[in-house]
Amino acid sequence: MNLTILFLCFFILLSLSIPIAIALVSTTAIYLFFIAKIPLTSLIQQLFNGLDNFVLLGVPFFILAGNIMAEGAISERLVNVMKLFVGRFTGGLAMASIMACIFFAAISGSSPATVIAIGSIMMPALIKEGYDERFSIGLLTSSGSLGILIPPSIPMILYALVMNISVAEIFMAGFLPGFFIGMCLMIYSFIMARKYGWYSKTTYTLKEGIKIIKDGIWAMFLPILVLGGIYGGVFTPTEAAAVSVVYALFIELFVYKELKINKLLNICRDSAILSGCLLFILSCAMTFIWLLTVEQLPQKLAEIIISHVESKWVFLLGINFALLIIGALMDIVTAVIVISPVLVETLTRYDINFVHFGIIMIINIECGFLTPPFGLNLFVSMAIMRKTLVEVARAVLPFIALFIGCLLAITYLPKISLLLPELLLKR
Amino acid sequence: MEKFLKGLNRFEEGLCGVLLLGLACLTFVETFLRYTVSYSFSWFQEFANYTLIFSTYLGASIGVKYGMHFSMEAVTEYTPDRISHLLKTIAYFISGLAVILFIYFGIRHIQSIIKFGVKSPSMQIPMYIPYLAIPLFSITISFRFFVLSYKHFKKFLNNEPYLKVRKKETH
Repeated sequence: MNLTILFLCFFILLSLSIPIAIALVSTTAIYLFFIAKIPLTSLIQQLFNGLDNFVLLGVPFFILAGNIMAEGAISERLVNVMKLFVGRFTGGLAMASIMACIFFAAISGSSPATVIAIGSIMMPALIKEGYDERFSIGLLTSSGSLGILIPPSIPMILYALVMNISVAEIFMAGFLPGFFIGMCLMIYSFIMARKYGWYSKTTYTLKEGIKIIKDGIWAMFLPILVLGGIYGGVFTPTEAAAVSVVYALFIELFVYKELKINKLLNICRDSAILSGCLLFILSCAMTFIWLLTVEQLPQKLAEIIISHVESKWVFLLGINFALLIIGALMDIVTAVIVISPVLVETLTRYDINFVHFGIIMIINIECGFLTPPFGLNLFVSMAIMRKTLVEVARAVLPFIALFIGCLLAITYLPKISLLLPELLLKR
Repeated sequence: MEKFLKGLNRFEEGLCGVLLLGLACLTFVETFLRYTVSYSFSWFQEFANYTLIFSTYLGASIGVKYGMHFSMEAVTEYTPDRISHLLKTIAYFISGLAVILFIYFGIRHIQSIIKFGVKSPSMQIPMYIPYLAIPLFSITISFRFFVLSYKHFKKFLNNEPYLKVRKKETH
């Protein structure tokens, strides 16, 4: 009964279009004050404790590093290297875009930053080579979302925090699914390119090739530094984020020398505001999660779900389906942050690995980023490609289908996610 | 007054950017020292966490001005423009009121911390200092929500068109 009031209250506030963060914390406040009769000063304490965690520092740092690299010359150098390697094949430029996205994903933790970084460079290039415009928009918008599946990843940090698992472990689990989706995208591009005869005529001399690699080597070293550092035990994911900020600054300011100080300050400001808003939602969501746990919702929910759904595969299918719909209604990252901890008990009873479930959640977030009307990637693409939301959304449609196919494969083959952590991290 | 507010805005935005960059560099230095000469600052993690909380609330406050807080627009998208403005007026007004709770109970909480003289575990600073960020920036957050509410109310009165998400062109 009480919980029904709680959720009713939340949905009324949400549908009034109150910011999600405020809706979450207001619901908690109303419940504490009227039903649980707990003094509201504990709310302030929860707001504070939710953010008082060293792991969270990785979020603003990865946002900052991603934005520096997206605005600077690193992304361009990366694209050049990829073009050199796969550009000559049928559909080569499309494949080079996907590979550049994978590479960029391995140095930044955000999906919109990847779209900006690779999309703004590759869009004109693809059109110039005669690729279909709609295909190009769809490809760049959707492959940018690999940014959050291949480590490092900001949503993974948030998920690891609310689910109490190791950030390094879920990072590791993201590799293979990321490559898997990347491969599917490449195969799709290859088929389309063969059908319509898209291929590049550009050739490189040996000298040009060496110059491109020499230019790109600084950018190529970053993933090795960041991921090698984390898994070599040199530093934690949070520290890795700080290292990548400093490294990105160093090469942009002293090696490529294209970043102006003024622009840098703007990037810092924008990143700080963005991460402020993101962590503010987290802070408010933590009070809500705390309340749900105090009221034992996870246990009650587990009872209900287990008694109605026999197989865990049906349960996972249901969750995927529900999240696809939720993703079209509200910000999907918040949805995942709130829903996952509520399902902890259910997951334990079904014996579903939290890391595997995390990867499923991340791919759902990717799909959410691509579905109108609130998909983040769509807005980024609208801005950099000067198209309307309807045009971008239509272009992305076949790719959403592809992502959903991959999502199902990764859901039902847990090994794709769990193989690497099991092999490399099990003590 | 106008000039003062503008100056304050610029200071706020500059401060949050510099804080973030500074914190990243400091974390880098700490990591570097720990790895090379195994020296680490005992106060570092706590300091970093409190700075993060400070800059989060600061950033969230500026974010209200730029309309960067996500909300569910499913209803406002499909209602007539005038009603959308009215809904937004109400939504931001309630948000402003809700954040006033943060101010009031934040101050109450701080008072009780001062009374008990709680100190932070490793830096040994009085615990009310890091907590100050919440009521302090809640003042600006709630002020900005009320400003937004007022703006939508004016548009509601003047019957101005409402900028819907699906109709938004490039921004």
